[in-house]
Amino acid sequence: MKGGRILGSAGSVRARVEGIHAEELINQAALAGIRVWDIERVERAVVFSTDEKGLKQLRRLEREKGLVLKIIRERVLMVWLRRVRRRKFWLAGFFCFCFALYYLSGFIWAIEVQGTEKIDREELLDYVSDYGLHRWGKVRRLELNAIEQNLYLKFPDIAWVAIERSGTKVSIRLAEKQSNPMQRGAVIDIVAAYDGIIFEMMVLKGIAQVKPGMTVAKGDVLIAGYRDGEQVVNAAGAVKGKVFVEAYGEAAVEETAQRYTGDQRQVDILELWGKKIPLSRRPKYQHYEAEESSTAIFRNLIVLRRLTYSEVSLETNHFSPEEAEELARYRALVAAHAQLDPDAVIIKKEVENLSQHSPFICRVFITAETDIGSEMVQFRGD
Amino acid sequence: MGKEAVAKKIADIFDLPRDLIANTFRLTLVGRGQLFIENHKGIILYDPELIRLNVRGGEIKIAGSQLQVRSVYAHEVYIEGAIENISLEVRP
Repeated sequence: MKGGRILGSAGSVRARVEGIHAEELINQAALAGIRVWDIERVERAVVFSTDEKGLKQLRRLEREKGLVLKIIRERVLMVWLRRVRRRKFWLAGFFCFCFALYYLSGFIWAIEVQGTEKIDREELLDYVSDYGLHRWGKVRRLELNAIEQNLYLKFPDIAWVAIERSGTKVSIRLAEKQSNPMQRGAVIDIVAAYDGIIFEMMVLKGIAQVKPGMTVAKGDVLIAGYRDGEQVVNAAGAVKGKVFVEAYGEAAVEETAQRYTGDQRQVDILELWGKKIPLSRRPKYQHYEAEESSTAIFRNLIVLRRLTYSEVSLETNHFSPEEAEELARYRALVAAHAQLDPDAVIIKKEVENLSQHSPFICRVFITAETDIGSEMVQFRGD
Repeated sequence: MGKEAVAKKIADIFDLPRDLIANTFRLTLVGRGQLFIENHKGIILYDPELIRLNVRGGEIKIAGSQLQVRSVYAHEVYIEGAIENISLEVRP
């Protein structure tokens, strides 16, 4: 009962009746099936709430029994409904709009394909169009599961495919099969990962291409794998070498660092035939970074652009010349160590200041002993 | 045997609620603030201190303060307020 009252109150009216006892009104309302609630006695009048239908019936009672009915307050929905009834063309337009919206939502407006590398996107779209999955195709007739199954059969390179519909947009997401090069006659070589001089070498399998004492460049084959008829012999072994790494670091006495504040806003821009219509306001950030993504709805004539603004704050760090020099040295060392294997044994480390004034520039030159061989799949003839 | 007595007998045989068969009134009191009365026959008096309801075979008197008829339907009344006393006066 209470729920009904709440729903009814969305389009309710508060009225006052004079010339009738409260009891009589309640009984008349109950007999006539008029919904009345929140009934109050105010001096010689009765104040109550009713709905639109109840109001009509009460108007009839007003004429029959000579009551005085006054409306105290009307809810928005009630006023709106009355206004709408007077505006026939507006109502017709509204229904036309609803119908157009429903009708147009039954078509595919955009098709998105994700994950194609080897598979030709156009060929895939051409194939699915035979099943009704094409732009302006009827969305309600699509049998997405059947299309997925047929895609597996047509394109054997597909490992996984999913077709999803969200509104008028259809997304085809797929993952292609990873080809195993070893199945196609490839062998594994051990190649140099750094420039350096070889000082120790142990070959377990394969053919050694270099000797200790030789200088090699990054990418040179150190131990080669080979194919013996049907049998593939992959290179195996360890090659140690002396490598030379160089890195630079820079620091100034005054540096500006950028930091994200965490505040982020999205601004949508509708582009109609090249004319940009912003749908929301641009945030008033002093400093920001913007990222743009766009969706073309109708042959690039209607484009929805979304700009994501991330607020950044700029912080200026001040260093003394000694601190800046130390920072440049530290940065150079970090950059040099990043180039080396963590197990590398450092033999020599040279640090050189290239600049005596801000910005300070440091060069680090490291000589280290490390395993320079790394496995690499190579294709070659028999 | 009267109509009411027959209805009462049927309700007893089939173990049914009497208000369903005999169209008799039913009161549901929620705390002392809400009262639902079903199968009433109209309101006799509506006053913030006293509400009198016509029911089959008598009259129900609800006494209290700030009593208000929150909603009314053909067979159902919902009363709110500080209910102090509910009494049934049987008509001879």
